[in-house]
Amino acid sequence: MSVISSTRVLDLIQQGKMYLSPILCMEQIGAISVDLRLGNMALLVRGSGTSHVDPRVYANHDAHGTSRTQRQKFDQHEFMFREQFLLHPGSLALVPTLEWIKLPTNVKGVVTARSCWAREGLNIATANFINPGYNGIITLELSNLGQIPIALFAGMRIAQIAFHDVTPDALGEFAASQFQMSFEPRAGNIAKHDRSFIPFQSGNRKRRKSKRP
Amino acid sequence: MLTSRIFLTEECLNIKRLLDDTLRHAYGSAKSEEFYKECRARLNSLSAQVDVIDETNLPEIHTLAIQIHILSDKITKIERSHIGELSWPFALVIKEMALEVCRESVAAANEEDPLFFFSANGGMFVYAVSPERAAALSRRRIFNVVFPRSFKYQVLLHTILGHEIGHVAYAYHELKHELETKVTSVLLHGSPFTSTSDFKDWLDKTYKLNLSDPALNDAFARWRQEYFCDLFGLLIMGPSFLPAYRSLFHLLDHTGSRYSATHPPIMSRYSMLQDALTFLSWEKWEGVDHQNLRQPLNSMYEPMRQHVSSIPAPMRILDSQQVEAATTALRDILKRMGNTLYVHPKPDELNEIVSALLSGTPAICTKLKVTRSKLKKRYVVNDPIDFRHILFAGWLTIYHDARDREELSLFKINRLCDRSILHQDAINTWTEHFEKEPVPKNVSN
Repeated sequence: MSVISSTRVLDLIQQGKMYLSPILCMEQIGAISVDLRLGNMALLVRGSGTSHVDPRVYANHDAHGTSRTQRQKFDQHEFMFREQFLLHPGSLALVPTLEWIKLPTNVKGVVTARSCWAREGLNIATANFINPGYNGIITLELSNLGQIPIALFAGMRIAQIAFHDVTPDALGEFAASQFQMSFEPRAGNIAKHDRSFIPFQSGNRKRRKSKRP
Repeated sequence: MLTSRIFLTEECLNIKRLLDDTLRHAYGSAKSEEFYKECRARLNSLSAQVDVIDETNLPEIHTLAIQIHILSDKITKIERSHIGELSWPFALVIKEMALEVCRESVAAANEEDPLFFFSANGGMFVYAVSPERAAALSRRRIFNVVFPRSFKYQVLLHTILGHEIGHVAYAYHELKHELETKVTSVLLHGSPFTSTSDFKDWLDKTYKLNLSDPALNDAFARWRQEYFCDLFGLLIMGPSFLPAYRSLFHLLDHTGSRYSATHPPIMSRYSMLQDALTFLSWEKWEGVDHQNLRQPLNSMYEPMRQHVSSIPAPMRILDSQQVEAATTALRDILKRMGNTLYVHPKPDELNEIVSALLSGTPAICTKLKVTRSKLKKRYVVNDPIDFRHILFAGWLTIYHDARDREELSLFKINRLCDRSILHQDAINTWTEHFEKEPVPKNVSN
């Protein structure tokens, strides 16, 4: 698995085998990476929304409760170009990239922060693999590790993506990502396929029974 | 004693508090300061009038109370025009288009540009632009554009707002006069909508309806304007106006023969639009050989064609030659108004957009070009795409036979189109405000 040079990435784009758009200037293209820009939305954790992250909420069959908890966990902000968005110290924001990306089935992406932003305390979290064949915006998990707020503007280059060859093609045998064709950032399902280890339903039932006279 | 005047004085203070409260939100499509200043100026004017009014002048107090009520309503709607409830990239292009329509009249009336705010409302059929008549109180008119909340991302349906922008044009006296004489009168010449007496006879004959004179006059003026606004919507939004129009109106009245005090029967409007479409040659569109376009073009226009072929003669109210003459006249007027007149894209360009959408990606596709010099340096090109071409391509994708194969739902196509408009806004912002990419002289694809 080797890193693909930007020369080949541009070839793939030009041949229509990869989609990455819009690219606004060639300065976005480095030797082995392409800079990604901040999109126009942010999901910010709402302090009053939930007490803690609980996998039981995600594993619950109660559609209303699950959906409500997920929705109330974040405040959704949309902002236009040239409008400011402040990221405060210690806070987490899910933001989309401006770019839409469609990868071939033999290429994966790896997203990292741009070093100039990292030096200001902006961290782009660690869930940074983009699966082969992915089609959609990329969700960035931003956090401010510094002591002072950071002002961000939609359209600024804040992250970068490098591409790696994947051999053989990774299509078909494995399940598609739960985030395939994302139009905006959203919370994932941390309990997906792990329900066996989450003891929430039987515990509730037992407690109710014990209260009966 | 709590007199009406004291009550209104207190209410003005309440509205001042309400107005200040709006500053808590990022309301409107930016420029909240302009809304604040305009509403504050209106409130100051009303407060000053309340301060000096004679307690016994009840009619005047009533008039002031109504004006204060209207201002309170407007500020509340502005406060609720939350940016997250609508597709703001689409709102921006609609606002630009409406401003182009107003601009000439604003200059003639010695006014400042109007302010537009966008709000969401419940229900499918709530698309509207509420134009404000010029009022002594206002320095700037405030127009409220209303979207259905559930259609936040259904940008393909939003083309119906082309019709509503026609009402904006009619809100300006100077422009209204020109549109009335050069377009509406020509469009309706020889029809029952030429005079109120002809209209009265037609209503009686067709619907056995006998309206009072005020109701008749009101319906006469409103119906005339509705025909005009349909033609206006078609000419500024292009072909995508038709499927959006048909999708909504067919649900509203599947018979097509119902009427209301404000709107004429849908069938007669379909018939007029079909005549305009034929005249504009959009259905045939000579030179389009791409199967990628021809098949969805035929599929898109077919339901409308079938619908119109079943319309009975009494509902074919407008003469097709008059429709042609009015279309020509309106096109000439729109040519003066920046880029408001819809112009077809080149077939190759449209084909590219449809192909991009069919492959599940947005329409804006950065191209890489290479200089012819020895260095073979690559650089990026983002050709501007008119949002109406994106919407046209979106509708063609919906009607494309390959859509099911690609598992593209209506929602996904709408969101891809919405995303495309956002990308174009990014490119425009980049081009307008930032350093431009130097373009090498020797360039090849």
